[in-house]
Amino acid sequence: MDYVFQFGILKEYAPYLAGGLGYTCMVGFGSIFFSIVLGLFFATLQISNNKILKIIALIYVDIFRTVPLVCLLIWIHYVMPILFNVGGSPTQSSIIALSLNGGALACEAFRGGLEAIPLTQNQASLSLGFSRIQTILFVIIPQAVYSVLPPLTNVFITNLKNVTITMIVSVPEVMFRAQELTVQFFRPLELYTGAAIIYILLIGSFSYAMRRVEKLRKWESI
Amino acid sequence: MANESFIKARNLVKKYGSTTILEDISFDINRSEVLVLCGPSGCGKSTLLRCLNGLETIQGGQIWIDNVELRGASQKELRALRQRVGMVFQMFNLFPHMTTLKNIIIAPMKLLNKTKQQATEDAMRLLEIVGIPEKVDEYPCALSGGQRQRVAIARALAMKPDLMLFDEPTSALDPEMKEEVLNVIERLRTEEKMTMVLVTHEINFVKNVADRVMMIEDREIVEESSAKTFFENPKEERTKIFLKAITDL
Ligand SMILES: Nc1ncnc2c1ncn2[C@@H]1O[C@H](COP(=O)(O)OP(=O)(O)O)[C@@H](O)[C@H]1O
Ligand SMILES: [Mg+2]
Repeated sequence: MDYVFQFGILKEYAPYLAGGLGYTCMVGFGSIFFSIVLGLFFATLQISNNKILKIIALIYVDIFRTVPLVCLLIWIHYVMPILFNVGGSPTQSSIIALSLNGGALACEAFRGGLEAIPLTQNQASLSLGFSRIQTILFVIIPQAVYSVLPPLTNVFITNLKNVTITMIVSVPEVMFRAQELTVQFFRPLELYTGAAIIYILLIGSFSYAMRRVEKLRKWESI
Repeated sequence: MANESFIKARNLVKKYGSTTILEDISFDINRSEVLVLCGPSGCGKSTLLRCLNGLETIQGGQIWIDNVELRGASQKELRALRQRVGMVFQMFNLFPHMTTLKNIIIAPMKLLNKTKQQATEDAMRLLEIVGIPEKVDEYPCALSGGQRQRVAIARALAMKPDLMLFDEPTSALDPEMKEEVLNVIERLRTEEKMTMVLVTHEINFVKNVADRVMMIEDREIVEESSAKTFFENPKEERTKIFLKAITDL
């Protein structure tokens, strides 16, 4: 192996690479936000008693968790403007694609979390005289928040990692900048390693924060 | 209407889909009376208890609780009724995310508009009665089965119910824990004159506390008699077989 590592390039260009974090966070956390909204909405449809609403939710989940994200992003960013004359900036298209995908995954996480709460909790609450809405507010949601956190954290991390795919539509986030500099300086190993470290630090601190939130729970299920 | 029975069931029919679980069930329970329901597993004892507080809709017949007819009652009336009917479950069904205290005070605070202080005072008195005041700040995961069940009883009593329904309250418990829970139920009878419907197969306990015993099998009431007659002089062949089966356990 006669490759000579020259991490010195990172010294000079690390600030430029890290400058992409703003876009990474905008697309990452933006899509996390909309994933939660979509996930909650479709999970509600899935647990409703209406067959048609259930089927709509199932179709949504099955489409958007199976379509490869690259294809989804290209359709939204390049094909939609041609077919329907609607389109947005690379950042907007990316947030939409990642949200549609994340929403499908989040929907499954919410549904699993709600189903983890035994029906007997419902019965106990109703037998005290609580209404259905009070039962959901006082009994189901406070427990569901914690039972959905671990699977939901996985969804959020997937969202953050998927931001790297948005370089195909030229969102100037960290990975795009690494590619840009590589073309210029031919130092792919150093530059992509630098980008990876930035992502690892971001996602690492995010999952650490989520663990701290999980630890706020003082009780265990019985 | 002072002479009316507290609970009156007439020709009750309960189906799940096309399967009939209970058919033509009629009985009366007076105030302060203790009725024990027994019968083989799956005969519909839990279902019948749930019918009595309106958690299940019935497909035929009528039930009156304190002169409220359940089938004609609105959701609001049913909720008001459930506030006065306490229910205790085999698996306790405590709210795991609430401490003992919170489990007990949440319903009186939200439904009876008690202040936190009033509700807490009542809760402490109830915890004294069930014998575990020191567990007030524990979460259910830190309690033993017997302690959980006693908290569940206190939670139901906090609503000041006129009627208590117990669904196999001790069958998930070890023998010594059974005792502590059964003692609490016995005190409810002697000290509070509580009207109770119990599903249990603890024979010695039933002999002590039951005014009447009713056995269900194959959708119908097989035998209904005083506790003494039921155990010492059962009329029906099926009762004899059932009694033999549970004493042989
Ligand atoms: N929600 C339900 N849906 C359909 N069938 C049920 C439901 N709950 C109970 N059953 C059926 O009704 C019968 C009586 O059940 P249950 O009341 O739990 O019996 P027990 O308490 O006497 O053991 C059983 O055959 C059971 O499978
Ligand atoms: Mg049962």
